[in-house]
Amino acid sequence: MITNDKMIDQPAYVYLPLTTKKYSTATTIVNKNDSVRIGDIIAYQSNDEDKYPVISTVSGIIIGFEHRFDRFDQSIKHVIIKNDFKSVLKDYKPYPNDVTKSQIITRLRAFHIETISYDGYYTPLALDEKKDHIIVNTIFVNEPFVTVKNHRITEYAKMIIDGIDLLATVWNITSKTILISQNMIDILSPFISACEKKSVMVQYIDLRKMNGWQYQTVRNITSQQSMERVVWTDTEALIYVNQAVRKGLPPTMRRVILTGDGITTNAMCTVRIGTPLSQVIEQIGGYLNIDTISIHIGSYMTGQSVMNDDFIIDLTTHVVHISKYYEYDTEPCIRCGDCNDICPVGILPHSIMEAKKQHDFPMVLKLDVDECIACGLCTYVCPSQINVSQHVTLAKTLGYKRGNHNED
Amino acid sequence: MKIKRMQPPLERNSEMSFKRAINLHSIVIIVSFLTIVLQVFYTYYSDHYIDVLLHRALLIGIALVSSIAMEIVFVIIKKDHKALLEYSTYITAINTGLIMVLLLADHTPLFIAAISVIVVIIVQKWFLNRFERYLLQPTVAVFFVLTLVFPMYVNIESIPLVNLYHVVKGIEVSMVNPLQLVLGNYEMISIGAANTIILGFAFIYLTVTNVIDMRISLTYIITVAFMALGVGLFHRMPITFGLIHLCSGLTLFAAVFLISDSYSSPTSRETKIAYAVAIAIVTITLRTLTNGVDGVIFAILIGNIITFVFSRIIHRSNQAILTRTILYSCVTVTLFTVGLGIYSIA
Repeated sequence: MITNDKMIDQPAYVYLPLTTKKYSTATTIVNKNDSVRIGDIIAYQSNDEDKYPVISTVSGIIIGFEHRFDRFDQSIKHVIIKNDFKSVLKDYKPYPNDVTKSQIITRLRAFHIETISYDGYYTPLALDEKKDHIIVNTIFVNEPFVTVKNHRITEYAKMIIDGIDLLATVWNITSKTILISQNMIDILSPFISACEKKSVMVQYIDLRKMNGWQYQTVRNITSQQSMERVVWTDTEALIYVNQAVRKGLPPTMRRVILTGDGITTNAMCTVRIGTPLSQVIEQIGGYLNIDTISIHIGSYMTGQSVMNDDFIIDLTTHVVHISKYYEYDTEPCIRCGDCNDICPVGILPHSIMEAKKQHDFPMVLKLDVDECIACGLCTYVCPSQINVSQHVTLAKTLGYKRGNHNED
Repeated sequence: MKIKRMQPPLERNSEMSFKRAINLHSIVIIVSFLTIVLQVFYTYYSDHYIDVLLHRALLIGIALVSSIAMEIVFVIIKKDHKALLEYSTYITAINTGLIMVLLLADHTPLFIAAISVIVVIIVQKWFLNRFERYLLQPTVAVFFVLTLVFPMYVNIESIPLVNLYHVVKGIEVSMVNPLQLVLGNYEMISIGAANTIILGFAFIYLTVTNVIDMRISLTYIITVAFMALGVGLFHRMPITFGLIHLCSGLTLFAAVFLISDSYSSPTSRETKIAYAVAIAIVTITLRTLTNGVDGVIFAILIGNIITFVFSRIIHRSNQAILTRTILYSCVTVTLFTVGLGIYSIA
């Protein structure tokens, strides 16, 4: 459990990516030497379907554009803003009292908040889709390590509950649930009472075992197999929603957990969006004196390795793990079946892996490989340290490419 | 400072596969040692315990030498000379060799023991290299072939089970004392089918350390016990039937060392249960209906074939399938028990 909390100083320069994996085209509307305020639109990023603003997270001067590697190791264009440290805000109308559905939607779109999904762990706040349930996770996940931000939940209790109400208004949802660790009942009792007063159901989670509890819990609450009609999000997103609608404040800061035995300090950091990771690491004490490190972003189960430490902390970065590089020996599969037992969706990862190795792709499809949610639990439990999840993901791709072809 | 891509350094919640092999290895060695030592104190062998001690020690020694020699040959073929000096290289081969020899009877000639160990390791390596699994459990398959090829040397008589078969046929015989049965103090099928207490401890240890899957072994034991008690009820000797079927005829040995071998057993929980139930049903059926009083060996081979079929037809694992599997298993076991009971008294 991470208890070290650090506020990272505002950087002298902020770098904002103009494109992302999903929105690969950018149209800039500012030029070099333009002054910007917090909340000013710098560019629009788009794909074939949508267009979203890129907004400034500091006030200052645009000093130029440059290509940098993002956390997907892609070289993309970033705008560089020199911070004047004055935090001048663009005026956005606050809605402290009654607010309509369209006003909420407009505001969330204006600040790009609807795309928050945190490395695929949560669902995006897809405002134009039909949703039946809101399920909020208070348990900060850096699997298999788990952190619960008690003091933050207590401090921001009203904002979190209001954020749930605002989202419920968007989709006209009555089913609202919040997940709380059962070890935190006493500490969070005022918050729990406040939730219950606002008709937000509280579900207690036993965190002692890694067993895909998130998926099971969501399925039990919604009685649905898929997450299509579920808004699965966390307290940080709700705080952004509340601040955006009630105070007209765009998201400018991000809570990021930095962990690992490659850095001197493990901490939960509050970081200005647009800060390079390397600057954050420097401020919390820097790297340990080791030759080779490994950087992993996102949950251990569902995240990814990154090959550069200079990527920009953005709205979707929530966990970064920096560790010493270790060589791991994978042992042969002993067919224990632990991966089959742990799979939360009920498919058979071992059988899929076997079928893929035998190039039996029609069998891969028969094994319902498309239902894999890439939770990574099969990899986690494997006693031979095989990356089973990777095999299943590859089987999924090859299965669809070659399995249908074989059947024809 | 360099950055390198690495699989996440997770602390996994299961025993590493190499640790599992070490745990099995230590148990196999302990059981092998105890089978030599303990039996010589039993009254059955009191007249010729020196011969028994020597012959068993030689059998175990042959197993060790043959398995290590075969492993050295394979290592040299693979040109992995560094592995020659690492003990971990020999663990699997030693486990296999010792389990093979523990299946053999006291009077098995040494050359048979050597041949069987050599053949089983060759078969094992071939299957693992080609398929990464066994289609048939090599130890069991080789033992089965031995009983066909060398019937004069590999005797699979088991006195308590023979007596039970006679009881089923209506012939009055005296039964082995239950205490002696539990301690393994009777003329038995194989040197490893020994002391129930030793095998019981081995079972518990290997289950706790995740070497054997309790769902397979315990399901098998419970099913055998249920069917034995059930058939015994028809003869008004349920406890006797239960004790004899459980404590003799390789039942416990199979539960600990043969049935739950992961390379030849299924991998999903429902199929594991069905597999164990199938083996237990075939075991008791063969023991009740035929003079082949052992039954377990043939049953395991049938089970291995069933595993292959399961892997093609079972595509999911969830609570509903598990419940159905348990239900169908209970019904099938009950039907077989009643059927065998009625047949045996008819």
